[in-house]
Amino acid sequence: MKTTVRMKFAKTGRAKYISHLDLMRCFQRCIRRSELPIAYSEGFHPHMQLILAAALSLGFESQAEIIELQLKEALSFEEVKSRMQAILPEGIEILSCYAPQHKMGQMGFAEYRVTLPCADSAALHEQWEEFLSQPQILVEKKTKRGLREIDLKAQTECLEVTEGDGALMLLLRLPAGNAVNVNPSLLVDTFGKMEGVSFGFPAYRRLKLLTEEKSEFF
Amino acid sequence: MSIISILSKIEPLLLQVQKPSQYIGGEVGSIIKDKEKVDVRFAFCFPDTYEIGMSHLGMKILYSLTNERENFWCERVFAPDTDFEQLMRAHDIPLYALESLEPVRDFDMIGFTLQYELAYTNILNMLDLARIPLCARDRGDSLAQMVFAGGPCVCNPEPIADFFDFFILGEGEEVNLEVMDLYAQMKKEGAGRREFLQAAARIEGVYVPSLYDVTYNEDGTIASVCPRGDASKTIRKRIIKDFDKVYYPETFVVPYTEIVHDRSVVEVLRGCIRGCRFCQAGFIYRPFREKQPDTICKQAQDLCRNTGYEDLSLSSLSTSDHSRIDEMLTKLLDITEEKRVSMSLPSLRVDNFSDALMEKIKRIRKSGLTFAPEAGTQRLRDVINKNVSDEEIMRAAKVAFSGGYFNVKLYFMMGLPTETDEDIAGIAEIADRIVELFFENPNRPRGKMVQVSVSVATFVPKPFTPFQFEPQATEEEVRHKQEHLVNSISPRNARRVKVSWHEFRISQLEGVLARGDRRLSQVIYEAWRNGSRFDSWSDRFQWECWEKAFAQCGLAPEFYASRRRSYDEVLPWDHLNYLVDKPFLIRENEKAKEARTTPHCRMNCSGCGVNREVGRACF
Ligand code: SF4
Repeated sequence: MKTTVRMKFAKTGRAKYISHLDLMRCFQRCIRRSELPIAYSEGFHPHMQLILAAALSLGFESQAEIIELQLKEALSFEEVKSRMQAILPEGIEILSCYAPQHKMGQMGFAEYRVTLPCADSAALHEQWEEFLSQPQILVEKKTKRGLREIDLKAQTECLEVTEGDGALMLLLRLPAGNAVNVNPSLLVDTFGKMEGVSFGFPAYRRLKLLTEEKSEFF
Repeated sequence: MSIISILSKIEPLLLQVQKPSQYIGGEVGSIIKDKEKVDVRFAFCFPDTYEIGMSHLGMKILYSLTNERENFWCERVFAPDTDFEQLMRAHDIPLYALESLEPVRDFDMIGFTLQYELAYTNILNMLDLARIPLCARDRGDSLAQMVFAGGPCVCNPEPIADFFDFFILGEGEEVNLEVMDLYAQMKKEGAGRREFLQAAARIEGVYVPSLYDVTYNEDGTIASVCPRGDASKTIRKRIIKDFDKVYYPETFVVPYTEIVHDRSVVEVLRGCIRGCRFCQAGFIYRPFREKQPDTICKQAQDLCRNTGYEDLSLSSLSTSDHSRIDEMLTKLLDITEEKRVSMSLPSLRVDNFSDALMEKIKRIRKSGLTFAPEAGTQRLRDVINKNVSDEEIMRAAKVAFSGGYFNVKLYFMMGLPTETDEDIAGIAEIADRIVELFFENPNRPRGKMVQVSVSVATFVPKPFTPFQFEPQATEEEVRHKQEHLVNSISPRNARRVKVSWHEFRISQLEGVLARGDRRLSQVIYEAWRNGSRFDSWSDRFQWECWEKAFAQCGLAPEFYASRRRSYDEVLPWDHLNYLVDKPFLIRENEKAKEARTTPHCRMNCSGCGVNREVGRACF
């Protein structure tokens, strides 16, 4: 009996340099190695029934990626998880395996932690508050229909700011749906261009994927 | 420097370069060991980019083979592309290996594989990025940073002799481990570099260039090559006697980013029975040996299962010459079909296949037709001993057209020994006749234009071939031939026949480096300093860098490329024994002049000397 299995996985360390397309190919090969009973599409060029949701930017870490497989026969979630984990490369870890609860189209938001290395995190914090307190943050964004101006301010929820030792940590919630999608690096790069602001190479980590209602996406 | 520091240095840079995953390692199948628990750390360097090096079968074999040994750790190193090289230099990042992300300069042994001459400046660039002294004599007397090389170009390593501590001649599966064992033992004993090299030189297949003195005649040719001390007069290449039993990896490192050949590969045979007189591979890999069909199938199955690759290909110089090709392909096709693996087949001589196999092959074959007649007339094909007739070419084209194809690719050479304008016109004639054949086919696809691509390489004479004595065509000769070819194509086919050729200077440089002597080390060094990198890529090749380098060293490329060598001249590689003997090469050169062919090895042994050296008949 055909079943659909969803898995949440982490992508960390060296694996963060695997592009979305390369990750897709990597999963296809890993699934072949796992010999899981994956279903193939009909037609002249059958391909594996596999979806990798919500593309993650190159260089980002994540603990909330989602992959969905169609299996030809039902297997326990435990077994799918352990057979996948056994063959995955360094930096990719299956966190959980379950039956889908939301439709892919219901995805609406994502939460990120951004770490900005800096000498004086209190000072950078002040600049960040100043940045966010602007009435509008207008930027040009490349979309499918060409360049479009958007207001980042209206899209950004900054949930938490932590002054760490040698770094400022931001917890951001941004749209990650089909219609609107804002990459945190767009926000951070815009912040970095503000006068007097300087910080080291930012590190990004996706923490959660959320539905349009902002509950956790499963 | 530790892994943390290289990683933290490259992280901010990786997003600024093309295909960053090629610089970070961590692929499925890559091998991580505890460096404290191994005796010898080996940096296996491929002097070209990741996407090319990772496609190379020899590296995959030796990587797995070395890592099977608990006390050795083999890691991979590739040439960074220019964008990353600039960042590495600007940020003071030394060349590092992909598994540990540790600097290559901290390794015990640093081995390069030399697949083509035009990668030589990349070697210098990699050593420089690694901050290892470029010249072997500047590396002091410690054992560390032992730099060596293997691969086909090592059959004449003289032009790069200054940069290497030693070379490994022939097949590496046994000798590499022998050398590493010796190294491990001598490292424990606290031996020095010179001591090690003297001991290594006693292993068959190991050539230590610093143990040989080369003197020159006034005319620039070599007077003598003299071994020092007890070094042996000649060095014999290594071969694997029982090829069916030789080590073969059960898995590969599977890259994330796309590479040139991204699939499972099984090596089905080594050597070649054909003896085409221009083909270096056909001579330096002798004798011909093949694997049993069952061995091939098992290796294919293991690889497909362990890598997850969806494609399989076979590696050899000429797969059709496998004595049990029908059985082998039938079995492989059954396996691949069941496992949803697609098999890409090389061009095969299909004359004696069973109908059942032909049916299976038809189902999977999707590419158009490619054919390598190499020369335009039967006479010239007899000169080069390329056993293909006009009828065979036309028959193959007919089959392709009736199968619905309208693209044909033809490979030729120009500048072959004894070649005349008539031979060049013959290339155009073949192309024209193939176009006509297309229109003679009543079922040809309507609305499609037949496209015949004619790719013409400039012939480069290579060591250990019967043409090793021959001059390479000069720029004027090549230009004339190119014009004559274009003018010979029937004007009404001008749009249907597309002719392309290689840049003359690149071929000439390849010829110089292939047959050069030790004095070229200085030229290569200067060319690198002048900015040469990636010379095999026509968009990167800069002749000016080389022209200047030759002038700086007072040497002329023509001396190496365009000069006929007499049979009694001491050639730079004469002290290396590749099993095929010089009298045989001379006999073959003489037969070539008379356009007399030599039958292939299975039909009749021509006494090239290999059987004598190996101590048994080849077939
Ligand atoms: S010894 Fe004879 S059969 Fe063996 S490779 Fe040479 S020519 Fe061929």
